[in-house]
Amino acid sequence: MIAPVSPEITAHAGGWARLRSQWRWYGPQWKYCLAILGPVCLAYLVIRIIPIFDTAWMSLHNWSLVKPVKPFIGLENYVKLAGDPLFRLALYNTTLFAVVTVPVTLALAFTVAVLLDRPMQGRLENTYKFLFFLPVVPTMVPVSVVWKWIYDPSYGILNYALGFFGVPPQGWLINSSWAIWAIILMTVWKSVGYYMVLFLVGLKDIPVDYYEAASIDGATAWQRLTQITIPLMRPMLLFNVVIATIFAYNVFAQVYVMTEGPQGSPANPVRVIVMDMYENGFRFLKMGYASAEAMVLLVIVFVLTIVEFRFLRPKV
Amino acid sequence: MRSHGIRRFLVEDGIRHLILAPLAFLIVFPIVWMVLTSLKPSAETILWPPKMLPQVPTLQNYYEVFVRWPFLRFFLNSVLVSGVSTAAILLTSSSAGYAFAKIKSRWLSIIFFVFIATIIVPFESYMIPVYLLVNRLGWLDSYPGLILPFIIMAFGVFFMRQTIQAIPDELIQAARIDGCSEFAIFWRMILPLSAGPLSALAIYAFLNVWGFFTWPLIITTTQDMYTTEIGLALFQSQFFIEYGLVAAGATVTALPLLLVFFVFQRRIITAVTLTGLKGT
Amino acid sequence: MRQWRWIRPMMALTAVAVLLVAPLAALAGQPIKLTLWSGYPEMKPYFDAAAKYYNELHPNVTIEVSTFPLRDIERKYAVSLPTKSGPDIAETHLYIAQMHIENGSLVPNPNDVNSFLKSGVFHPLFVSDSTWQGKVYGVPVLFSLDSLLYNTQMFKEAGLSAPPKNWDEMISMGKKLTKYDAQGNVTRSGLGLRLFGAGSGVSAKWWYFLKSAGGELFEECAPGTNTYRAGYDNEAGRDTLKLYIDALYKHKIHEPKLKQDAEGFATQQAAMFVRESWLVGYMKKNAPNVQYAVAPLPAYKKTNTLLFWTNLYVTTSSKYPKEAWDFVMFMANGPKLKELEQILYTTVGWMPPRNDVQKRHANIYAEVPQYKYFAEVPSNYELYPYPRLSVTDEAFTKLAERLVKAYQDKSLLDNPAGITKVIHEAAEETNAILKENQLYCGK
Repeated sequence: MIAPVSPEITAHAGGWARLRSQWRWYGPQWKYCLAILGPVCLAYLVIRIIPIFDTAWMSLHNWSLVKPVKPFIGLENYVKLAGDPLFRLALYNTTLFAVVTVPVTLALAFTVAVLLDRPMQGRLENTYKFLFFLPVVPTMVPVSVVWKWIYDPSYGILNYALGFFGVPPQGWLINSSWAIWAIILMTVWKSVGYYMVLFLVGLKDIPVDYYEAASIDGATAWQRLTQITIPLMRPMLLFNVVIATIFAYNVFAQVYVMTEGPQGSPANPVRVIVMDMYENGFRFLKMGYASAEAMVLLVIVFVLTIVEFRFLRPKV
Repeated sequence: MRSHGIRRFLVEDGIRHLILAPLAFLIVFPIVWMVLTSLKPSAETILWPPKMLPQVPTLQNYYEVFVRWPFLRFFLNSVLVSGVSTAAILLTSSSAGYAFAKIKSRWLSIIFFVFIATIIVPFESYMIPVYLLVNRLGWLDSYPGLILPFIIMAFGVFFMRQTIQAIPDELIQAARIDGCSEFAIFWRMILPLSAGPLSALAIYAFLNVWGFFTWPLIITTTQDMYTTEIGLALFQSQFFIEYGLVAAGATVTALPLLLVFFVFQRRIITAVTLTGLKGT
Repeated sequence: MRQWRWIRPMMALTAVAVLLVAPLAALAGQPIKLTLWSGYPEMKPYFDAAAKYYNELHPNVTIEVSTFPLRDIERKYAVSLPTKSGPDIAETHLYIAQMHIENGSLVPNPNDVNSFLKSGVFHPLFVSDSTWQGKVYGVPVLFSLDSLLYNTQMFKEAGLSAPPKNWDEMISMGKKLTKYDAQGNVTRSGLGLRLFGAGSGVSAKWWYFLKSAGGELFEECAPGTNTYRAGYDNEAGRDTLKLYIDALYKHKIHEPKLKQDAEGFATQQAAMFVRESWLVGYMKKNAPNVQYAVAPLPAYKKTNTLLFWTNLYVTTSSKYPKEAWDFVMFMANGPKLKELEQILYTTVGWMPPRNDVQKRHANIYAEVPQYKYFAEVPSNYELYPYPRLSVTDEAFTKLAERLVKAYQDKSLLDNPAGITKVIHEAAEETNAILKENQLYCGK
């Protein structure tokens, strides 16, 4: 039965009762928690928490799927990782990818959002918003397939278009220097619309009075942008930066599609962390080693998140 | 006065159009190009200089896509996996979210914090043990195996908790005093009140699971179990020489989502904003 | 908002139902179902036909055939065979099978199968190289030699009457066959090479040339010790890399931006290249109008070529090994042998591995002359198989990435020191892999 704990009772009882009142729920609440959170917590344990610790555990062993003996080797996998040129390359590529994709996407998205914030003749801004959001809708694989075709060295439309500017045909995905930039371009193309939508909402929230007051004070459009819009959007900007960076570190699908198959592009120029993990764990079956890579990825993402919370705590 | 306004309006618009129109064209062109390529017979795709429109448009590629590889089956697999996962995510996120939002307890706060901590851990970091677990359960290459990691979503719990927290406590207290069980409160009151955010979460979860790549890649071994993502990825690596065919495969894969977008535009945008802004 | 209330319970019910029903559905089915996996999608017609014929004879046995791209099946075997969740019958080639043999995932042949294998129906290499620690594993299902394909039309236009017999001729003919545009860019490769794509394939193709130069991927330090070191940190290795670098940058007979490998040959962007007989099926389907012929692999310091074949293995994942072996023998020596071999010849392109095929297909070389030099070579040619160590895949894959990078490095032209460095570093990596697996004989 429901018996609200009256203030007098809690006040009367000493520390022990207070402790117990924190533990003890109203009966039905306790039933609900158990019935709901029981299975949910179990699910979390089984498919999230325990695997995370399991990965850490496996990373300390020489764990191979095709060998029966899996000896404990302490931090040796990590030491090997530090000296592994392929992993270092993957780390470099992934960081480059994240560091370029995120700011470029957000800057472009922000610009477009600012330009579309005010209405246009014939409500055209809605058409633009629709068009810009379009690439966000399909999933990464069909998009990668299309861009692989666009980048084709012999028949791709990009080479054709650039030909008008006097640029000779390039192997965009084949050339070691260009390949990662080709994938960056494609990823930016796909993500711009998403952040544009978020920024548009944020821009809408800024009261018009601020701008009017500033205009009266004689501020130019540029000053309005830099003094009002950007500072007020800062929390959202920063939040999206870190979320986007975290997603960037997990990049895999587009790299897989681009490099897969006999006409796939060379793998190393676009080798990213998850790809290296996949190869080590599911091709060479060195699952202990791949687990060590997974832990490194986890730590990187974790650190980035802490950074976010540091910068995000609104001082406003 | 008015003509001055119109002229300024048009001039301002003009500058924006100058910047936005080419960008919009570049943004949309790849999708258009994909569809155009899929309508060309293979011989036309390798013309140089390339022709924009198909000279002899054909639907043969689409026919081949469904005949050579079971793309319909891939689509159904994706629907099943995403649908069941979304249902499970909605159920677990809202019911757990209610517990965390409206039942005061230190324990619950601790558990909630642990849940949230898993949001930032990328799935790829711990998928190896999950894979081994699924293997031990004998669920490799099966629907339960495909669905298992997606029956809960930490972000969903967070999202629903934030949403439900906004529901006034008085309503819930009143219901409790009236003798309602927590289950009843949840089912009859909380859920209907959160219908909007719930549908946003549903869309978010559905799209997330639909587009997930790494897990189905390592879990499926037979072609019949591929999701559309995996099916297309492997299809393009095998039939790379037939560009029209591959483009048709890509269109077929992207089309369902694009259609859904055309129909449910508003809801999807709302879903994007609601879920995207929750962190701020 | 009312509709939300019952949509959700329905979805929840569906979720539960599916989770319960799916495993049950998986268990239900035909009395005996065998699964066969192959990494060669072009073989699907063959396996499907074999399954059909077998089912006609044994109605209670159905065989489900799945084909995958090659790199994917190598991964799938890796994760499923050790955990006994793989297929009943696995088709694969030697060095992928080796790690699974050593791990105990593949079943040694029963005695009757071995009697058949040793009955003279197969080239002795098929049997000897399928033997590990005294036991024989697998039954050959397809084979081909690696040979040179060349476009006869292009050869005639260039005034060449015969294909190249050695590297010098290969280069000089390649130069005559290459077409350039006004700016001096290559518009048609004289010699098609494989410079990137699909991981280990790049190094495997390089390795054929390495063998002709007298090198090895792994050389055994002393016979019988079962320890090895990289066998290409020598003149042979350097010569082979030099062959590629010179072809790309000195003689300019191959252009990376053009389509390479099979696709290049089919789209007539390459005049000649080295591959196996599955090209016959591929060309028939994708480029039926291209006129081409086949010649033995050009020689260099050594006259040799790869004998490539795949075996069908019964795995320890199989719950019905007896039926699985029966099906394997049905394909190798059953009543429908002639029909199945016909499918190989007319549709697939890979060739039947038995050496008595001419008894059943007397006119095959008259009908499809391209098959001749994929099946036979002059007697002075030595035949060799893929290396058999379990680390071959890893070694090839890592070597491939180094080669891909080297091929793009123009500075290696006329740069013996640079080439030596690249080869040496690659060999160090190969040795490290050997060391990691206790197969290395050095310090």
